[in-house]
Amino acid sequence: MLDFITTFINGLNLGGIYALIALGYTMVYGIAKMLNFAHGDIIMVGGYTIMVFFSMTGLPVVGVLCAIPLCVVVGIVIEKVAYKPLRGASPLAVLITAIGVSYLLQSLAQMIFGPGQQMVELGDMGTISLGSLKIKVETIVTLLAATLIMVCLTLFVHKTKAGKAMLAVAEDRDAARLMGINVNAIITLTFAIGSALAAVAGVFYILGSPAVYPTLGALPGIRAFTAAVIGGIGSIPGAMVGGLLLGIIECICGAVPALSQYTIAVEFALLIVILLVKPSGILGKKKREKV
Amino acid sequence: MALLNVENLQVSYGLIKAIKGISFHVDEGEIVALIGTNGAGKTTAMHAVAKLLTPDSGKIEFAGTDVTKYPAHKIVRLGMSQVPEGRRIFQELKVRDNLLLGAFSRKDKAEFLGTLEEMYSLFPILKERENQIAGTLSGGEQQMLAVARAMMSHPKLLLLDEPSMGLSPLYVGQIFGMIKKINESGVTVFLVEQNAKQALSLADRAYVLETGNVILEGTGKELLNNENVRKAYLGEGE
Amino acid sequence: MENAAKTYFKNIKKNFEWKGCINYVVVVAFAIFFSVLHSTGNLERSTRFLLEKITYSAVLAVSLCLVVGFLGELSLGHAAFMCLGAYIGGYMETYVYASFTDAVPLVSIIVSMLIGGLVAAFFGLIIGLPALRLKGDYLAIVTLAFGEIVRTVFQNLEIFGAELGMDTYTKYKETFILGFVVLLITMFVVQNLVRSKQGRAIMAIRDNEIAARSMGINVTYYKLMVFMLSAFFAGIAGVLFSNTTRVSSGTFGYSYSIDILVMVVLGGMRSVSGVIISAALITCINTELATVLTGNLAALQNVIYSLILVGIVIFNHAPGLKDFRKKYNFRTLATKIFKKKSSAATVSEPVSETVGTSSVSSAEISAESSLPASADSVAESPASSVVSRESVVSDPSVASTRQADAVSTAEAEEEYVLKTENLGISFGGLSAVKGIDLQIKKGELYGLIGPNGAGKTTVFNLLTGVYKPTTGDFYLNGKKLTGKSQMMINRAGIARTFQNIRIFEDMSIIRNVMVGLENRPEYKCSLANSIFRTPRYYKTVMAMREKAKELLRVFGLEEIRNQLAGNLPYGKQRKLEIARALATSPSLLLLDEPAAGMNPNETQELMDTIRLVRDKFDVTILLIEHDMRLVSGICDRLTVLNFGTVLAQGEVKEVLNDPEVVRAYLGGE
Repeated sequence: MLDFITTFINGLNLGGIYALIALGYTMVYGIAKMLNFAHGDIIMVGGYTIMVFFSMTGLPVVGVLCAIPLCVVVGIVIEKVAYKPLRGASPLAVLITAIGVSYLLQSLAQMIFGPGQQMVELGDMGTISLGSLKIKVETIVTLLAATLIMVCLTLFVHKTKAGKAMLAVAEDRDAARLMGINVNAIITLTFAIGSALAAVAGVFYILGSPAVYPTLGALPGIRAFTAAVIGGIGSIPGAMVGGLLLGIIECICGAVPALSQYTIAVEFALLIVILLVKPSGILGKKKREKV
Repeated sequence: MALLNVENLQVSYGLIKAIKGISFHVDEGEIVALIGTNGAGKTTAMHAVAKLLTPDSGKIEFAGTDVTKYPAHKIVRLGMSQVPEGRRIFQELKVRDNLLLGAFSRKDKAEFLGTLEEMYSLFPILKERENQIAGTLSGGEQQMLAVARAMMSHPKLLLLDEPSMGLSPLYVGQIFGMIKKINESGVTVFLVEQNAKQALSLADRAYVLETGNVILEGTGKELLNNENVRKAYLGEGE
Repeated sequence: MENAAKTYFKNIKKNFEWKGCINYVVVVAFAIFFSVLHSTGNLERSTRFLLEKITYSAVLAVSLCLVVGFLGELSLGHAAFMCLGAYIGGYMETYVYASFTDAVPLVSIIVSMLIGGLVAAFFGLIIGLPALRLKGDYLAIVTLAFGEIVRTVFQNLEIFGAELGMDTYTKYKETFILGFVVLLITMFVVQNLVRSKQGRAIMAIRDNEIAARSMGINVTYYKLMVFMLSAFFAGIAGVLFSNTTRVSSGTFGYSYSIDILVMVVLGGMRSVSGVIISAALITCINTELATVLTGNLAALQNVIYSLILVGIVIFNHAPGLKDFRKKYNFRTLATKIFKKKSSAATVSEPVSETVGTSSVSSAEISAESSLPASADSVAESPASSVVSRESVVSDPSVASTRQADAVSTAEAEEEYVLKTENLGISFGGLSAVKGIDLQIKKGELYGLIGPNGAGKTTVFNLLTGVYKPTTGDFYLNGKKLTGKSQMMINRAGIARTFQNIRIFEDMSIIRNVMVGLENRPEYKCSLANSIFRTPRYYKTVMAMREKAKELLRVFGLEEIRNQLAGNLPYGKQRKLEIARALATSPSLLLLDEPAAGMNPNETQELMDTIRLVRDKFDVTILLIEHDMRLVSGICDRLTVLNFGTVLAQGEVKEVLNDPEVVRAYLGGE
């Protein structure tokens, strides 16, 4: 029972991280109508930034504070240089470009930092005990921060002018233009927010497993995408639900001896099943083709 | 003084040269209609004026400024607002949010909240359904929402693209009544319509569009009684 | 017998295209050159190793090119097929019949390749199934997921050495020669497939799936076939791999799939020769640079590849660069440099079309749209790419229709070509179209009119199987077609054109029409016939070409039949679309706003064309139109729709003078 609770809490921790990444995917998908394959690699960029500034100053905080704006800049640059020119092009072209950007980021990191793992020990926050249950402080911090961010994001999207403009653009770009909304600016904002979220996710990820390497973002990225699809791509609550769910499933799989080696296979199998059975995901809505 | 002046506009829609060179103007305080059959190019013309489509050539002047190269969102800030064809309200958002988005280009919060109240008194049903999701409204109510939303930006010129489309006869009358009221309150109106009778009864002046060219123009009354209009719509008939 | 052989050889000679053979010659030349070196003992081991690598990489790249370039779907897990082949084939060869391998290595390898290929093909089928329901982004992710699952499974199976991998039989020295042979076979099969009628159908699916379905093309069959064939060759490449080095799952991960994709994109996705060259180049560069670029710099080549990848895609597909592309693509540059040669090329055009090297595919790297058409409100947006229309299971209603046939023919419905009863459809509770009762007589020119949004195109979509009705039925010549797929409905005899023209812009005019002929029983020709270019294949293709020419002649398009359809002016594209629809030999032709955007002259011409079509092809025509001149000029009877229901029906004059109709159109008080 205790093990189960521990696994569950770890699952929530991991799920929170996945949710933050998935939010970026889902927002970009809903508003810019594309799958940003390079999204996961932003985590890696954030990770290396933290490492660089941390080793320079010895202060983890500096690393974290620098990582977020840097990731935002990288996200915006990618959007303007690689994706914006392809607006209106076939989705296949956009997808291949996104893959190319992802590949580029990974290769650049490898070129600059080398292919190996580099440790980034941000320090141990300690453990607290609730009876016989031991919870790491960082787990609690991650969970709280993730929840806080999700709440803020939901408020932002539903209560602020810019947030509602984002919802409008997601639903009907031309109608949004007629409201005086600068659609290009909104799309850039979306990428900025998504990248910031990825950076934060990266911080928590490294807290949990303190190593950076060029392909750091690939697997979490794909997993977060899986989470976004399961929850319903384009839906913000869907990304949160999907992320948490996937985190829990992953930890449960990891705890079961027979399945532990096949965790990724289980997650992908789930993805395939969802795509075939209910492609709009748990919270998503069906979209109809126009002939 | 011409609030909107369009000269020699040519627009392609995909492969089709939908508008082959038309000129028209709308003076301040007028109601001007652009009528014609389907496929004549009315919506294309409207989209081009609102800059949702880029014209191949031609000039568009609004309140003395050449807006031919302006992006759509900039024109809204200049004072031109459009009620698009098929309404295109934000189905997933609440009625109130739709209206507030209409005021997106305005910074003066107190004032646009005032406009909101005006709209509520003009369209009481919207106040009733304030917190409902827009997609659940009936066709006629959605049209009212679309008009109110466009009015929220306090425009000088209101563009309406086929306001009667898909509406039952009851609502058609109501909508046109609203448009008249709005014009009386000082807003210039330019509308594109398939329902020639209603449009011509309402308009001060009108242009008749046929396969991308203006073939007739005159006052609303003149064209209402013009046999050629009927022929353009229904063929030789007898 | 002798005559048949004579005709066969005459056909081959007539259709032979030297251009298409250059790549075979080059590959054979390389093969011979290196074999000679090898037999005289002058071939270094490292070179031999490199050649092995090049050949299996090329085979792999060509297999992916089939899916990405010709079917237009992105497969991000192709390494998985290679993985399957490498493990299974390698395992069989090294452990299952080891003594056989020692005795006759060549035969053993060939057998293993077949086994590995077939296993991979089976999994290709498995991946093909989701491909029937998903498109674009979602399918790419599913293939990626599949790739990871396969790799993970092999990484953990003890029988295959788990994490450490598996040692394989790599002693056969002539593997590279075998590699060349396999490459030649792959080229033969893929190129012949692509330049055949089946290849045209595949490209039609890529360019405009909805149009392809409406022409009765069996999309399910072709998608599955492409995935299986592609997987088969990838599996064989895997077996070759296993004969080169030991096999470990780590090799076949996501990044390897990306490497292959880079080869395909860099090689110009639709050019088999380009892809082979790019695979060879990239393999050589990687091998050379592996020694030069050490440490961190080893990633430099990947940086450059990814930059080139992004650059190429943006250059080829950015809508904003359209004019730039027109000015600076390889073809125009080549034409400028080789002014004289280009005029000679156009003279030889009529021959080239038969072997399949159109002016599009013969340019090694075509700078114009190497990816499917963009900016289409229909099927291209990722959000809607998931909606499925065809089910995998073959149509179960065929048997029950025969019974219904017997009943309804007894009711003597044949006087009506089309009969609908209470036909309607609701979307999420809202009825779009309701209670449609139509009776259209044979040979009529019937008009469907009504204000915008009245539901006219929805009716067309119901009649062609794009939507399945929620109420009511419809019958074609007495046969009930309710609920049937688009393919079955077209084969039963309904064809259509679309409001936004859906011709295949990247194909020549005559090929557009030939795709329409695919469906006809008299032009049935199996895949094997196409690939091996049997006498039957040539007969079929030449008959199709003649028929297509005949059709085009009616529309005045025969002279320009080899031009690219996308370059036609609008009015002619309309005509082509009608010609193509007629190629499927329908009894009922649906025309959706054929006169849209036409001036009075073009409209008059169209009216004459429509009448001619009705007379010459013995079809009944149902058309949606707004142009009242056309409607009153050629239609016999009309149905007026308003708000999704029938407002009036009957003779044209009656209907157009009906006060209700006048009110609906002109407006009432």
